[in-house]
Amino acid sequence: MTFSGLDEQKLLRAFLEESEELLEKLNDNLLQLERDTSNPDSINEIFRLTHSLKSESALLGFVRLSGIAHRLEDVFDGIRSGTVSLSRPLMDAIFSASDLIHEIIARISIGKSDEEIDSQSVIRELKQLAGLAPEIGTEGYGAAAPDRSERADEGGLVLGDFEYSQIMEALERGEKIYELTVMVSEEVELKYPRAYLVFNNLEMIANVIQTVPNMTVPQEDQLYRQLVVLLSSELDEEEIYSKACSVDLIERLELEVWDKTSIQDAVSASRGEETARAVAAAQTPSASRIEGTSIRVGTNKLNEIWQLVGELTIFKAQLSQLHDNVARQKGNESIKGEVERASDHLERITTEMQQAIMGTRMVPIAVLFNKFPRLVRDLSRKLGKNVDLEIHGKETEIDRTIVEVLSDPLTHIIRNSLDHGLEGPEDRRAAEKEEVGHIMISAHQQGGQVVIEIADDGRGLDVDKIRQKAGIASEVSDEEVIQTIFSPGFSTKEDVTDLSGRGVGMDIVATRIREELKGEVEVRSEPGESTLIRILLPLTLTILHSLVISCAGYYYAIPVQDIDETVRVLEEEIFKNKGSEVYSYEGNEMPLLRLDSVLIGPSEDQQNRRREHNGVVVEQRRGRVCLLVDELVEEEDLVIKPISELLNHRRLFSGVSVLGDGKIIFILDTARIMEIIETGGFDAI
Amino acid sequence: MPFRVLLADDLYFMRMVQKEVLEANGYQIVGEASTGIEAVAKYQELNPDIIVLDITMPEMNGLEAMRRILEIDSQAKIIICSAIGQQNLIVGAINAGIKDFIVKPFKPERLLSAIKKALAA
Repeated sequence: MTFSGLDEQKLLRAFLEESEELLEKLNDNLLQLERDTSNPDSINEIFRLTHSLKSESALLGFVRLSGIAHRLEDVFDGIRSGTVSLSRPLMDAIFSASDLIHEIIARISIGKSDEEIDSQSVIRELKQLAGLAPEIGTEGYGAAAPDRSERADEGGLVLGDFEYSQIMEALERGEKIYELTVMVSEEVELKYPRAYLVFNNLEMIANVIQTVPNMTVPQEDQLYRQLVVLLSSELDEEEIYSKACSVDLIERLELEVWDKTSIQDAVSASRGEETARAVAAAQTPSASRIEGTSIRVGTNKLNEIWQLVGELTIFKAQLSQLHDNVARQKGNESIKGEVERASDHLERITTEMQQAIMGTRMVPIAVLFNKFPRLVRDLSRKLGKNVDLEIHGKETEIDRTIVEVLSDPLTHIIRNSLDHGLEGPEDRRAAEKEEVGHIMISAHQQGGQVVIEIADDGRGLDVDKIRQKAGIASEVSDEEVIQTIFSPGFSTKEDVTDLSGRGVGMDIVATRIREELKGEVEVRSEPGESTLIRILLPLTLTILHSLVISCAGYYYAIPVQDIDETVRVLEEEIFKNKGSEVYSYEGNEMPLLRLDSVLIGPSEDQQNRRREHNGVVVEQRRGRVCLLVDELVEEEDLVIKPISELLNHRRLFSGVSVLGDGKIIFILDTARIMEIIETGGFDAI
Repeated sequence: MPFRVLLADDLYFMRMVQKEVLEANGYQIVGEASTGIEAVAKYQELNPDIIVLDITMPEMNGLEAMRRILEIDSQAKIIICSAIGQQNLIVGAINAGIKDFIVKPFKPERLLSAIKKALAA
């Protein structure tokens, strides 16, 4: 694929981005079609999708890809018109063609060409099964994509044959040719609509031959600072001018009437660049591609904005502290009021902005869930199981970075459900179950978390076997036993790989969810009946609602989601138990940790110990622990930044943030603290 | 005869600001509406020279009101009040036939000059 002048990489990126969406839709519609082979909506949609894929890939020179897409398009055209009937084998061939398309696009996305791919057999099969006439000639569609050369005059009018003939016809009608240059005021937001207003006004009274930039497809707003319109009209200059002028915020307007020579000059100049128009056209995606109200923005740009909003949040906090200081001083009542209003205003805007930007990071979890119908279909066929998949809560929104990491673990869980959880038809009959197995995937938001559940009505986990293999004592409850499938290293133990139910790799899944996503995962199971895996995830990884505490003169933060409650702890409620301190609370004992001794070192001076402490009860899956701190300072939304390993002794912190007054604050990793307590790691202190 | 203006915005404050600046410059505010439905009804009743129409209004939004008004009077002079991020809505409104648009937040002069130009056309 070579055409100089165009930003190849940019085009390719756009193609890949778009093809992802396209493939997903293709997949969905194919699955729908399989269920209902006469569904005209699916057929039309698939026809449309394969058509776009064909044209786009041909444009980029991916001959094999466009060849397959072309064949699929033919097949669906046939189905649409009733000349091709959709048989089972044909459906399978269509699926393998779609798989090959996936494969090719995956290759393209890692920079490989599609040329080594053998598309012939798939195409042959499609043709044969659809009863299409064998084709003579090359398989590729548009294999000879027109050669394109660079556009000569960026920003200027480029006249091709079509424009030329329009001009000639207009002159024959006795119209005049005008070139109108409009400058939109620099400070105007939304330059495109403003330029569009001028363009629209002109279209109503004249024949617009060309505009630069293109008006039908919006481009970057800044490009519309200047709009050049070539038009023909029988109206005189005055009338054209006043129509264009009726729009506000136009800085400059120049109207030039083209005489014969300037027309000839322009045309011959453009003729020299005969292919230029083709480039101009190629740079402009077809109108059907513009999707309603959305534009694509690079994630890095969003992240940049996100970081800036983070800085703004910090600045806002600074200002509100300043305001507090001012408020404490006497006098200056009027200024105080103004500062307060300004501070409130900034607070409101920042909060809204934070939410708005957060919104841009959020994507519906459908982007992830949508691939599961296909996965379940293929896998259940391979395994000879009959499976019905239900999906709920697709619209639930979640941070896009979470989606990226979540994809693999979730796929793994579902595979496990199919592979090990659901029984084959015979076993199900023997167990007096419905022959069709069920898998349900759902998502919903709960508080500041997203809950994802994967349930199946398979054989459940074999608690005894897990207990036996993992060597767990009998007094431990079944409920706790089955959680050990998530323990690190569990699946690498000998003989446990074939635990009835599952187990394979679940520890790896859990580690990713817990460590990379700061989430939780738990399992419930009814032997012989069902298994439910529940994943709890934070909505976003970058803002954390936290309790700021002080300890030995420093500030630290504890994520509010980890906190069960805050308590007053009296010294006499603290006991020693096997060398560790415990706190007796409402009849229960829980481990207690003096945070200062962990963070600073042991304090020898028992006399100095206060009789009463502030305690924060932290709850994790492993249990509860009471952390003794000096002061509870305030709750705050902290923008989390990663922490350097060097500063993170014993990995006690999960991140770092900056407070309003510029102080650095460390965020305590409560799960890690709990882990150290359990392993007796703090006892030496 | 001063030009007769109809203001439609759900926020009283916005209407107040607009009214103040327009009246100070010799325009006559013939009516105010706080919903799209009201805007259409008042347009029909009062037949103003120009209407300033906010996009975001309860009951019926400004764009729907715009469509109905243009059905009643295809020559209606309409200025839309929009916000950043509503580019596509604005382009749709331009295609439907509005005369101009202003983007919030705007200075009072902005409204004044947009109205002036639209009435002069």
